[in-house]
Amino acid sequence: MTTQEKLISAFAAGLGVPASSEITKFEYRRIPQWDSMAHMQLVLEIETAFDIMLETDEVLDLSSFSKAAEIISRHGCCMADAAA
Amino acid sequence: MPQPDMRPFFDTAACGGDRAYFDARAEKWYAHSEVTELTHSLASHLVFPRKALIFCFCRNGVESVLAYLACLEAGHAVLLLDPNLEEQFVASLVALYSPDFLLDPVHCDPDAFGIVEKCGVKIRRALHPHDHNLHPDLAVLLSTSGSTGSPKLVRLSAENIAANAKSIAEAIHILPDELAISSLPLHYSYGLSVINSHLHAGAAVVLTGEAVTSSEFWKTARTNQCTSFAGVPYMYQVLTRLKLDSLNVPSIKTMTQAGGKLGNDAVSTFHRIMSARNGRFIVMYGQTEATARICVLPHESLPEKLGSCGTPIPGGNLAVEIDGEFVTEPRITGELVYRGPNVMMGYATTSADLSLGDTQGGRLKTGDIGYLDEDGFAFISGRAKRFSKLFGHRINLDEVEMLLRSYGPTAIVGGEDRLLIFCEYGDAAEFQVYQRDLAARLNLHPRAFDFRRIEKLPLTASGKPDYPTLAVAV
Repeated sequence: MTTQEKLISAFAAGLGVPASSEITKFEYRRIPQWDSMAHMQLVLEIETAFDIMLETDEVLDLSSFSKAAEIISRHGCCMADAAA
Repeated sequence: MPQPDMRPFFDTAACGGDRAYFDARAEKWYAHSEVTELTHSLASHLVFPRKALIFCFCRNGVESVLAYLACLEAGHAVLLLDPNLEEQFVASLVALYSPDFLLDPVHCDPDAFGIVEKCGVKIRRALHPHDHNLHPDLAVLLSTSGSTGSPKLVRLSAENIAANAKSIAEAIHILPDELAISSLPLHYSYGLSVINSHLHAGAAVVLTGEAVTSSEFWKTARTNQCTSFAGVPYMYQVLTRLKLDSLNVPSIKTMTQAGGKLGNDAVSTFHRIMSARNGRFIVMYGQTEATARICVLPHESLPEKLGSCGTPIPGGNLAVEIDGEFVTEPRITGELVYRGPNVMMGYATTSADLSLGDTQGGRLKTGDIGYLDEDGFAFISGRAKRFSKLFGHRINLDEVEMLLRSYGPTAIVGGEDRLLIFCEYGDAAEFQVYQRDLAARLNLHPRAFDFRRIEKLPLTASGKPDYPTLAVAV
């Protein structure tokens, strides 16, 4: 699974939506399912999928799929190493 | 006899401080005098030949507070509602109770309601009003189930609201320089009590619709130097993960918690954190049927009284009853019964009920099971109705839930001959282990525990499991 696919499935599991490429356009506030409870689940799913621990600021900044990609790349999980 | 304070608690002109509300979305401060003026102006658009019934759809902004205050000033009765309710459910509520006005509705039948005026608040007036005979004391109506949408309402008088506001302000020492931040909605009794108690104290509130998981919420708290935070258990679970001290809001010196039981570990943690910053962590207990608040556990009572939800607020009394008999000895478990000026007038399930007077007599059977210790501190172990009888055994569903919570989010409803246990975790093999474990602990057959995997537990506005929905899902 590529990093992007992994992140998509973390979003799908966290927000309780079907996995699809639409998820890459997700932004907090535009997705009704993305409430504060779903947000914490999403954080947990991302942390588990990538075996990382997000800082407080990162949890609060995680407001879109692209932000999430940025955050995980900061933790060394680069979206470019897709075929890993 | 001393005269009670008869100043209407919503008389903002009498308040001390010059700041009343900060609307985070509009980034605007409203002074108490401004609130009084705007409330008065809005109330003038709600003139009606008789006491009117108003449905007010509440957002976390100053408009909703003004709308609420204007209804009180005009002497009408207002039902505070979640704007996110299903359109069909709102239509059924309108059909059931026949409101004379809708304030800020999302949906509205143009054949039944005409537009009166825009004044920051959209006012819709019934074209063919129902022949209501609302009780003169009736002031506020709240749904019994927050946002899940029960047509059963709690009837509150202006005296209920004023009494509870005063008791809360006294119990947790709200001073005029307090600045609270809350994302609890106005249609939820806890959220409303934050507004009312601060109004009583002449203190200020930051109104925001942002969730505690958004950076905007904490930025607003930081920029405005908020001094207190009000939250329900799940918000404190979020804060545990976020780490309060990392949020850089040292101005927050008071944190209150209500809306369900927060685990003892979390209570201890927040008590320690708040002690370290010379602040207070206050556990509270209440019910919509008691306007909001029943008990408050002062910061100083921890860690000694860990697990308690405190002592009754000023003016209130709490006792334990078993089969209608008062228990005078401490530490005997029974149903908690509350008396106080904040006990509702009663319930309403039809529009005719809105003409009823006080049917409670200031007495409320809480439906909560617990005991009082030697010092009068209440300890709650569960809900009376959250008991299931299985093979002759009385099972406290909340206690079984607590046993499983360490594995993950769990909600249990009682079935015919078994407990239906909904889990956001686990697989068949794990469930078999839990089943055996519970069977051994509770001395029942493993088949009495029916585990079901669920993607996401349905929750109510206060973040508690939505048991009625789960029961229907079976």
